[in-house]
Amino acid sequence: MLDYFLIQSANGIVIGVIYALIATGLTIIFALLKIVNFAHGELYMMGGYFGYYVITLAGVPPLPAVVAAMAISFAFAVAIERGLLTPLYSPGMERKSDYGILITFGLAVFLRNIAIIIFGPFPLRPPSFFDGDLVLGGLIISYDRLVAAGGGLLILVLLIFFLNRTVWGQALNAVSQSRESASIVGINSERMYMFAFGLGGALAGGAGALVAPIYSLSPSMGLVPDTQAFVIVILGGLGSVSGSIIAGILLGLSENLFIAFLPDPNRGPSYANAFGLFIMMLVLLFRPTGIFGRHHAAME
Amino acid sequence: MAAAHQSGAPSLSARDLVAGYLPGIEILHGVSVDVLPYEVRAVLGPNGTGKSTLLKVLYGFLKPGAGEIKSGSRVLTGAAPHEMGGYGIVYLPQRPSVFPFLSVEVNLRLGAWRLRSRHGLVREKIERAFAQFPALYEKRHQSAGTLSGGQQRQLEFARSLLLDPNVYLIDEPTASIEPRIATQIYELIQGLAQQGKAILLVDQNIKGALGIADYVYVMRTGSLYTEGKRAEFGEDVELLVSQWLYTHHAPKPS
Repeated sequence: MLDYFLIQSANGIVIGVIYALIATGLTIIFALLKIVNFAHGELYMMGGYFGYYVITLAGVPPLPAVVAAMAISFAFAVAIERGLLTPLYSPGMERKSDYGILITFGLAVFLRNIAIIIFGPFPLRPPSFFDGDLVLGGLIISYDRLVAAGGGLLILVLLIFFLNRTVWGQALNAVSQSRESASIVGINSERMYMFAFGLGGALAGGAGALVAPIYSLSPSMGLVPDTQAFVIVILGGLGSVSGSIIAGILLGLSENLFIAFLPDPNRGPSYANAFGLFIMMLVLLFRPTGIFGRHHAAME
Repeated sequence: MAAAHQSGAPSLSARDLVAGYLPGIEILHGVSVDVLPYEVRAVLGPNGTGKSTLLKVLYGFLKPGAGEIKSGSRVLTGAAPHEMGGYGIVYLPQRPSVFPFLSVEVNLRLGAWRLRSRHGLVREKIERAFAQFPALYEKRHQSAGTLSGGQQRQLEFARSLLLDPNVYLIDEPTASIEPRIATQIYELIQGLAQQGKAILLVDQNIKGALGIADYVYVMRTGSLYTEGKRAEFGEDVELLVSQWLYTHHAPKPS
């Protein structure tokens, strides 16, 4: 029983780190562009495929392929931002959040379907990072999961360092607090929006490439993590990067334990989404701004 | 007032600016102003006459429908706000433009964004700013949002001085600030003019602004009503101004 608890907790933390990666990207995009990116799950999906083809077509080993997938996802997200989102920045544009919802929702449907045409409807599985399982007493966990969690945590640590300690990270934060004040100190806000969307895309794409050997790739793989990411962003507090990380790991962990210990194991996975939403409702009842939220949304 | 230093050539000049936020609704109907080094020029007028809009147009936040903005021989009409610092122009809006959730030190660091690749120089400039504003040094690790209104203004001035600009566009620097601190802020502005900065000050605090102004523009419903050297208006200028502004058929001064 204890072993089962350990294994399920470890799996929960792995998925939690992946959730955190997806959710921080969503948070950064929201904090800067003030839109909810409904195509975020599809950026995650595309990142997984980018990693797959870098390995299978270019012959890159699986670990460097994650970095390559992030770089391609960054460029892909920037292209989307340049092509579709620049109307958000024009001062004469009305109802920007409506525009943001419609354009990203449409993009999500488009990417999911174009993925079926290009990549095919059948699940693809890239090679493992390392074959085999780590056995520590009763705890058994595959090396792929360890790599996914370890790689994800490393990316998150680098991200936190970048946001808090470098002048570019501070400038992103500044634009999220006030576009007007940022341009007063000479920051080109539009370039920061582009960068933020690219960064969000790279984080989601990296998450997709990290989980690919564990769960396989399919065009609809972004649907569930996308919903979870919205829950996490709200739980952690709109605009709070550290809130998203903590809420992501907590949600992954508690969701996995919920599935594992629900008396009827067959139904567990189907209730998992409802469980996340239930936690969100509970937190919002007591803390309407989320765990780390400020009264208005900016990035921290 | 620093009349001894008059240099003559404007640091920033605008001719016949026409502007508005929505198509068909014009706020400025052709306004011309000059901002000169060693001078504080005050723009006075009632609420809603377009004083703040004038500053926004000058700084590039709002593109003028017609007219021209020049700095020396360089045409700035249509330049973006984030480029203005590069031309030596600073804008201080009515609500302090500090970043409330970033520390005082990071706020200063971002003020030197243009110099971001030169770490040593930035550090040196920030140290100099702290030496000039010791109250900020004591609070350097606090979020700027926790500072008082007066200290936020100080932080803005300290931040703007990092790049040694030559033109200040200032919008109601003492709105909602206690009178004792307001006096200090006006002294600070006057000090900047004495160092040779060109200052355009938009203000509702007529008394405060006239206390340091060298030249006065009076606006009424989107155009200049009158303008002239502060001394030409005589001693009772406050009364005069309020007469122009708040009576409908005031005689226009010749």
